[in-house]
Amino acid sequence: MAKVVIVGAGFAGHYGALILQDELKKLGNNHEITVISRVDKFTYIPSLVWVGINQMKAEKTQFRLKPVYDKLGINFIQGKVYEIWPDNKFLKVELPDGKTENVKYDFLLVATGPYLNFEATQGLGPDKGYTQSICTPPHATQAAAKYLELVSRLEKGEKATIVIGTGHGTATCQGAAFEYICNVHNDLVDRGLRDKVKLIWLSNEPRLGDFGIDGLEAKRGSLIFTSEMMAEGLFADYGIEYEIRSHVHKVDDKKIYIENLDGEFKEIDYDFAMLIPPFKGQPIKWYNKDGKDITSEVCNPAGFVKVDATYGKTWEELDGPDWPKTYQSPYYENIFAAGIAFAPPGPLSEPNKSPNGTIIAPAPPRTGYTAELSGKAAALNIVEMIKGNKPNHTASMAETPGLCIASMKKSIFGGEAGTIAIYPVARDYTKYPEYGRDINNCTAEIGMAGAWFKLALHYAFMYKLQAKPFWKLIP
Amino acid sequence: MKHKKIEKKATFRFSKKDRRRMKSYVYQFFRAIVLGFKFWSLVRKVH
Repeated sequence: MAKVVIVGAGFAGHYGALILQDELKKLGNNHEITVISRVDKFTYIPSLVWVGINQMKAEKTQFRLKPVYDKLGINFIQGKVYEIWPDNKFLKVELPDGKTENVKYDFLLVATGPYLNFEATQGLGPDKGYTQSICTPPHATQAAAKYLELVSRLEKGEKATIVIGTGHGTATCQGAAFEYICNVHNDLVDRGLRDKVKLIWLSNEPRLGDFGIDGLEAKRGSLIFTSEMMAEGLFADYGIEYEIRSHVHKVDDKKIYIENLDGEFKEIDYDFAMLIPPFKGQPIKWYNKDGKDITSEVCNPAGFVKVDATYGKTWEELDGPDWPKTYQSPYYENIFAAGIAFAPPGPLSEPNKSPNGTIIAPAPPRTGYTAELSGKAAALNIVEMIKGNKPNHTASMAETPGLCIASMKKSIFGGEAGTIAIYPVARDYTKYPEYGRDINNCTAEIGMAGAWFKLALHYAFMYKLQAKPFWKLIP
Repeated sequence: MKHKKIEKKATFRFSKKDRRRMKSYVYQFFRAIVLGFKFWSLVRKVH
């Protein structure tokens, strides 16, 4: 009987648990699965953009994990993992009541998601700073409240500046901020207040439409249509100004202090700002059998767990085969890491430095569908190892598609969204010498169809991830 | 050097035809079917 522990219950961890349970029940032998999560609910993060403008309640994006796990025979522990002892095969969990518990495992899947590193920029974030975030349900709910406060001021005739984007030179998830700024624009149009607001897109992207994935190219008739063209055309239509290639040094209650890749320092006045923070790994310490701290060996400097990737290459040298395939730790064969928790071999977007030495390099996004695929591959590999085989299931970002519906306006009638597909996510110039991607399989277009997809995906994923009847039919 | 920089060629603006298509129920219904198949074919590559 094998004991499998999954740390984290987001896209990678929770979906990994469902796949693992489904596969292990075929093997019999009463294998045991335990999921440990800091929170007792799953959150469908892609819909938080609507929570942030009060078009959806946070509860609609969540469901409680325990009833799902009880139904499937999976153990659930609500708590925070703070130490992992891989030689002794156990980890330490801090429970909500402050007590601690040691949990033993034979196989471990680390899928913790990110630590939102607001501390990286002075004055960033809703808790100790001045900016809003849509990264968690409480943050998105607070962002909506602050946004509505601003709306009521606008209704009284005031004018305002709204800044949306990334709050640090190494932040990721530009796509979520892009969705938010488009939704804010359309909401203000619907309220008849758009002319009272200056909307500014502030991001660390080297080019508009980069989204941290090095942009995308797709065929549009006989032309090559890029995400840069899409973002540029859209911002022109929406009247959104932009400051890209920028790092945020500091935020106070009135201004955002930035530096761009030309080395220029600027100050932006604002009334409302939603800036995505940089991510780092959850603060978990790793110890060997002698009690020596081995966190810096097992994890990269940002605290993400190293897996079967080729580390140490520059962005110029990095290619498709360097991205992880099985998500197995190179140090401990019974440990896997998936979703945001795994350490990427490098950025997808071009990293740059300002003349003053400030690093402005978007980190690679590996959320949503990519996280789900890596969680699934890691879960299937654990099953293979339980059977006595080597891990052979792969989900390299250089072999899997990136599918994204970027909401711009939530509505069935008259809604708008960008439908984006890339294949593969990480460019592989060995396989696709011209663009690094198969552009026949890439898409970028804006329209109502995307808005229908976005709503359909919300309900489909919420259904599937609650393991309701025939959930496996939903990919 | 494996990565190639794809230089921007021109300032892009959506045409009136583009904007009309974005809001046309008939056109978007047709695109939803095409994009649905495209997504499905990509998903089938990994599932």
